[in-house]
Amino acid sequence: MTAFSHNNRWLIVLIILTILVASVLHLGSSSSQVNLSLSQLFQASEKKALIELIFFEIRIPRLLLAILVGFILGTTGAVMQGFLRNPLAGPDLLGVSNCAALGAVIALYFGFASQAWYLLPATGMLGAFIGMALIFLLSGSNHHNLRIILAGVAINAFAASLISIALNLSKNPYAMSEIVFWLMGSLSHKSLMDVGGVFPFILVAFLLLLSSAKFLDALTLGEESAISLGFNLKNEQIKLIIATALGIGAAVSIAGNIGFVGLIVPHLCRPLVKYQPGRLIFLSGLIGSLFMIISDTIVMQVSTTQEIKLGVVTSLVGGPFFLYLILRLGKNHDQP
Amino acid sequence: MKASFDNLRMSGFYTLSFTLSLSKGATLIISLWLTAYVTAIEPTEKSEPVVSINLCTDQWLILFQDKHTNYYFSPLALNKGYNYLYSQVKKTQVILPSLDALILLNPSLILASQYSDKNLIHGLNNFGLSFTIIEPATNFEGIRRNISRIGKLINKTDKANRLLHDFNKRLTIVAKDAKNRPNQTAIFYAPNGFTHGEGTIYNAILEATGLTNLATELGVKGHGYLSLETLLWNNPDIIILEDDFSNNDSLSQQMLKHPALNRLLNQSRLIFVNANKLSCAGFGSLLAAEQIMEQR
Amino acid sequence: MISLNQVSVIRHSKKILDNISLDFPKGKMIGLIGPNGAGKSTMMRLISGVIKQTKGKILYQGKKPGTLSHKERACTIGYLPQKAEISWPLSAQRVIALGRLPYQSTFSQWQPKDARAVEDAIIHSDCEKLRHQNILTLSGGELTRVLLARVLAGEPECIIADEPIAALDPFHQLQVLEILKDKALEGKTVIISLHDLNLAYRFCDVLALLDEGQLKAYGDPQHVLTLEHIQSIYQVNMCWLNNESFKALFPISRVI
Repeated sequence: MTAFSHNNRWLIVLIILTILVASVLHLGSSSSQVNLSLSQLFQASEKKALIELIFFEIRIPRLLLAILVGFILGTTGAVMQGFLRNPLAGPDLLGVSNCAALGAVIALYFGFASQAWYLLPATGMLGAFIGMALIFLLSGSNHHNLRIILAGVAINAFAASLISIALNLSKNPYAMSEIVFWLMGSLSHKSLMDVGGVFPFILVAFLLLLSSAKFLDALTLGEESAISLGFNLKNEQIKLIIATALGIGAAVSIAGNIGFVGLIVPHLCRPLVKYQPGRLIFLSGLIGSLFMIISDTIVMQVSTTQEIKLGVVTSLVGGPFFLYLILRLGKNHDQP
Repeated sequence: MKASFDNLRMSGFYTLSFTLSLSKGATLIISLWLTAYVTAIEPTEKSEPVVSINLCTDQWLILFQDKHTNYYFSPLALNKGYNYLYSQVKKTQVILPSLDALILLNPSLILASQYSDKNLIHGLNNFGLSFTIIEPATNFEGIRRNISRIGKLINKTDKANRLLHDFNKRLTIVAKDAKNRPNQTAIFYAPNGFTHGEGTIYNAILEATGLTNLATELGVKGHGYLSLETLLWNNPDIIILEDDFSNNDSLSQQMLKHPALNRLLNQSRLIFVNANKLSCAGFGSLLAAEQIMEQR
Repeated sequence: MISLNQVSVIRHSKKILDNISLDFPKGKMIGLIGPNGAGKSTMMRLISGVIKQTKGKILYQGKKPGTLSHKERACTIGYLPQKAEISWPLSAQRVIALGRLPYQSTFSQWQPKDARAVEDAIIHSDCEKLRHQNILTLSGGELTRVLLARVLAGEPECIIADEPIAALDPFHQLQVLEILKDKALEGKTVIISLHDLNLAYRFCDVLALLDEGQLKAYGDPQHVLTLEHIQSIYQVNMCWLNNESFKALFPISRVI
């Protein structure tokens, strides 16, 4: 932390309070089908056991997953943008999300996903790891950022095509629609077991990403200056690969492909941290969680005859918002 | 398929004639024997081919099959998870519905559904191949009508009448049995919250077994969605899950692992119905109703 | 304080630095001069730890290279690269504070001594007025001063500046060189590369003349900057212009 963290602390407290408020709204969110408010949890009624069941086994896991998935998407986006010094970078652009999705699709498609609790996150993480490793291998030894981004775009396209093949060859229409819906992203019907399954990986990923904070600050001055300030570029890259594999792999395997969060959230947070990339990491995580809670609340409110998928909501919200950001940034020339 | 078999026979004949002309004696005897053999495996008079390019019409066509018929089916007909009559389909009877395959086959009739590839239908029109679109039934009366209609289309009205008779008899047994059971609520539930309400064949099946469809009660029209919460909140007596025979326990089994659902199952009961009986509205629907009654 | 011992840097079978041995003593300002492509930038990158040598040894204060960790080296050496590649619109003060990174571990907090070092650096580099300005909006001279302050904030024993005055106007050229000279007088080792031979002659205590990766001359500016050296290495005919207080080199023609 620098000397300027004084304002930062108040900001973080404010955001955590906002997250708490949003969480309460999320928990008490009445889908039009079940009118269950938070207060009913504390009232005596004949359906008390059922109410507790719904809150603790359905709504709370969903909230916790929204927080965790949003958090890791936000932090990963922030670190990738800091690393590549490019505001478009993120797990979406670099294809890591799609690679993780491919891993999970293979597990679902070949049916071994349900044999053990860890198999689905494991394939997601393996997919993400292979994607990241390929990107750094493809971009060659000098690792120019543009080459890394181009490699990411290529990997993204390739992973998407492999997913299409899996869909194409799926043995029946039901399996295919299962995969398609899964890919759109959803947090519904998850249990505490799912939360427990991803939490350790997301935690480790976050800690690894957070440890890159100072390096990202140093990168502001360029790679050579960063190395002269005592940082080891190779080690930081390896940390990034592992952290992304763990975090995005776990998040995508449980929630499907949820885009735009890693792209937009750092943009929103940058002015708040005066553009310093190291301080962006934790804040992006918090805002990512908030963004996800709000999006999921929208999902619950809007899903009546058909479940609206979370990835759809984040894209619908995220796309236009991103356009707005670009237009607004175009007016301030010196702010990238 | 048939075309290549024809070619094989033709080449066999040519080889025989060639050998005959070249030699006498033993060759003649062997050639005669071979001829008899080749002609012996020629099947008795086969009727014109009829093709079904859709799973639901496949299921109808299979019911009308006998040793004289020349029926072809779509690939899903072989799929155990989708077609309860899969064992009655031979691999050689399956063709991938493409325009060129259908033209080569030159069937007297093609049975399709309204969801068949529009381009394919358009192509069939252009090449003058006759086809009929069979719409799926949404209740048992509709099933009866389809039986009669298809029987008429393929000139097997006797068989159709026998099927109808059997169908009605068994349905009456189910209805009688249902009257002796208590009135309970039930719901079909699938992963991702899919359920089936008013106006679907699933609804008709539940009605036939004397159960009240919770989905219809909650206002679901057609195929719809209910969240797990809603399901729990409304506490149905019976939850019906489709079992699709995949060893990999797809998401039905995964859904069962949710602790909330598990705890609920102390109050509700689970019934499994083979998914392959529910994939289309037809005779399988009757079998599904019977399967439900067995487990009630 | 820093010694190069038969150091070679070979890339793609090309000898960028060829068997160089020289010392950079404390309390002196050492100027690296030579034509474009002589290997000056490479040598600076080498000493700062940005690249590694193919052969030879570098000794920091007598210590063998292996014994100096990345962080220790970063605390000892401050490197000011030729090109400024600033990616984010930070304020000048925050950029200068980045110079303290070698003293911080992953989760460490900001200390009073860090704040003091930053303040000293700001004062020394005359950046007081630029503190809160967006770094991407600064002019050439202002940017160089801020980046120099960043290097100074690290309180390095050795300052390495790669052509720091190349794009500056005469006022700012003199200002930057004066700041660096002050640091040398304080006892630090200052290594800079420049093309302006007059300023090199005036400000540097020691000159090292490089050409095509080889060390052609080293030592007192008077002995290094001879007209013969300039003619053979720079391929330019020059002459000395004298007035009472200063001597200056004046280019006459190219040697063709």
